[in-house]
Amino acid sequence: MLGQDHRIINSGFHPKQFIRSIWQTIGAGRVWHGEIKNKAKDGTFYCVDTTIVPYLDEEGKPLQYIAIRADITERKRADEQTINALRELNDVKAALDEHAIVAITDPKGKITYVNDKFCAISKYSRTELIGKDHRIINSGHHPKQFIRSIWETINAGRVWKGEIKNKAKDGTFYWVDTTIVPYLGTDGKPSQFIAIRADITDRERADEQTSNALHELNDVKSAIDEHAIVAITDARGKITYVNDKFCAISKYSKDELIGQDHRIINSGYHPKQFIRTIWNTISSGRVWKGEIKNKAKDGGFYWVDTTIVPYLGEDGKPQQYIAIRADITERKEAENALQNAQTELQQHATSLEATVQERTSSLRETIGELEAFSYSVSHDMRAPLRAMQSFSKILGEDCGDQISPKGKEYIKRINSAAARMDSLIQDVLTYSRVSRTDLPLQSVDVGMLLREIIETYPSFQEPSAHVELSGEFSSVMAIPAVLTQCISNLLGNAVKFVPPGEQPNIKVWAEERENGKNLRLFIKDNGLGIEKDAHEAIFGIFQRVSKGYEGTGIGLSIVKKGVERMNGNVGLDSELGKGSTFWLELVKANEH
Amino acid sequence: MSTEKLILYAEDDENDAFLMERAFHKIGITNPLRVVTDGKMAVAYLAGESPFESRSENPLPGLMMLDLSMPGRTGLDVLRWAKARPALSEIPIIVFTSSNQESDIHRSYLLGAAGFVIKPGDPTIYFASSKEFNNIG
Repeated sequence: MLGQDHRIINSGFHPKQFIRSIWQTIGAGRVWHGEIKNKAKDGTFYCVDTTIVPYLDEEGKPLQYIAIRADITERKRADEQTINALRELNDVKAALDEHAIVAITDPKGKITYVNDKFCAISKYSRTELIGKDHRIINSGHHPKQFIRSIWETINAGRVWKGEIKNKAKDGTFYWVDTTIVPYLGTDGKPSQFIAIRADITDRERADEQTSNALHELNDVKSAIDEHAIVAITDARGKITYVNDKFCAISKYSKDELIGQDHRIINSGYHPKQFIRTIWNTISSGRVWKGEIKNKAKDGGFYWVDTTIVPYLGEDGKPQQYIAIRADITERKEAENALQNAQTELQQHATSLEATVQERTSSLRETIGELEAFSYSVSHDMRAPLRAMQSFSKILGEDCGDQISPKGKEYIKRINSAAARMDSLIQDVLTYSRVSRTDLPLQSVDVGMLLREIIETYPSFQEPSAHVELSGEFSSVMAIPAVLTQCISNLLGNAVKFVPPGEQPNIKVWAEERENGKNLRLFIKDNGLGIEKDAHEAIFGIFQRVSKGYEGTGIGLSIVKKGVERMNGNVGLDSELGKGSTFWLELVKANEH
Repeated sequence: MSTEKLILYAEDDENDAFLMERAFHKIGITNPLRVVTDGKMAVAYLAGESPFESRSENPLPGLMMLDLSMPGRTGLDVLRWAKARPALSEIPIIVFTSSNQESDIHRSYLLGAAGFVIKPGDPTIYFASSKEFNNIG
């Protein structure tokens, strides 16, 4: 190598200017110091830390140069890596600063660095933070134990990861997902802590809400467990959960129920169609509500008001069913008792109806017999009477010259007895007819009826009697034939029961009663009058008060019966020797 | 009474039959009075059946009086039967009965009775009712 031009080891790496400046320096007799990259014989490069010292002659011109070199290739390479690493680190830091909240503290927790995001989230400025204890953003949310464990971890040189709630300058809170990396000094103790955080306030808030919701749900669940019978089954009806009340009412233990088909408590009471409807409803994702009778382990039955809620999976098909029930056995039993009572009542009613029908039909039979009897009375019994009357009369006419006056008197008595019996029979028939009549009530003009009756019977006309109609007579609801019978009987009595030789003087008038709803018809006579004691008895059948007067004792009974049949009343006001005022009261007809 | 038509009287009560004959006699009705004593006989007479086959001996009546209450066929049965036959329907039939039931009166007129007379207790009334017959005989 000696004697070779120095340039042979020139690597060609340095620019000419660099080489020229070396020569200018040493050519002027000054020492040059620098790093030169040379090319080795094998073509590789190497760096040398070079000091070139020029040795000058007397004229001060360089005589020789002494180059002292040290190979610095390794050192040089390490520096380059460091620079690259730093550059990379810077990139990472920039990226980190962009996305994370970064802070660095010294071992005592004093803040030595914060990035912009730290300032942004904590709402402190950098100058407010640097040099401050990291506790400036402590929220007080975490227990001391939690903080202590962080310090223990990082002081031991381990990385700590966790979620921390911090407090910003304005008092608001924020959650950060935090990683604290301790940097250890040469003594193995942390020289600083780098904390890298991510804002998770939103996530944490959502979690908090979820947690609150879960809490609430738990409360609801325990409330439901307290008051309701709860069971959960899978999609096939296999029991996966029951609460205590379910066990209590079904008398099965939890172990006996979990994993069993829900039909274990099937009572067999409900028809298949009913069960099918339930399944159809809940398996199509709808809620079913209804009342179900179940069977307990001991064979006893209980009724539950049931709501089954299907829980749908992501495929929209039920994954499980939650059944919430309330014990309604007592109510059901009460209902059943009521039902039974009603059924019984119905049976009673039915049997009563049957009895009534039976009685009615037997009554109808009796009435039928009675009618046949009346008919035979009116028809057959009167025939011999008529024969008696007729022949006694013929006897007088045809054989009169052979009969003594005494005999003629007897004939007269036979005749009048027969006549009396005939009128008795007639009155009894009338009485029974009036009682039995089933004709409907109709509007009857009382004034017109009175005038017709008076015109029909000469005994109600002058000179036999004086009958005076006074005032207005409206219409009443009545059966014309029956009312005619009643008024005729009353007028008949009025003209009959007068002292011998006196002309009957009768006054007829009407007054409204019951606020104009009823009409009371008065018939006042100047007759014998009736003792107060007899006023009630006088309407009874076969009751006769006045001796020496013809009468059957049925006339007033017919009046009473007839008026009552027309929903009315009868009565009288009378004193012995002062005449009588009979009245009958009927419902007025609606004026059209 | 020029034609002297027969009057047929259906009556099961001998007394009534007697009183009727007496009444006819008393007021001078000379038409022959034939009494049949029940409904069945009345129908047989009108139909000309045994024992009344001979119409010369048993001519159709110019007027018929009919009691309602008779054994076997009642007066109403006879009335219904007679009015349903064109040959007999023109014979006036007067119901003569002791019944004063409105239902009997109503049904009699409904079936075509010419009149409804209630048998009187006083036989003199027979005369009055008999007199009415003068116009018919």
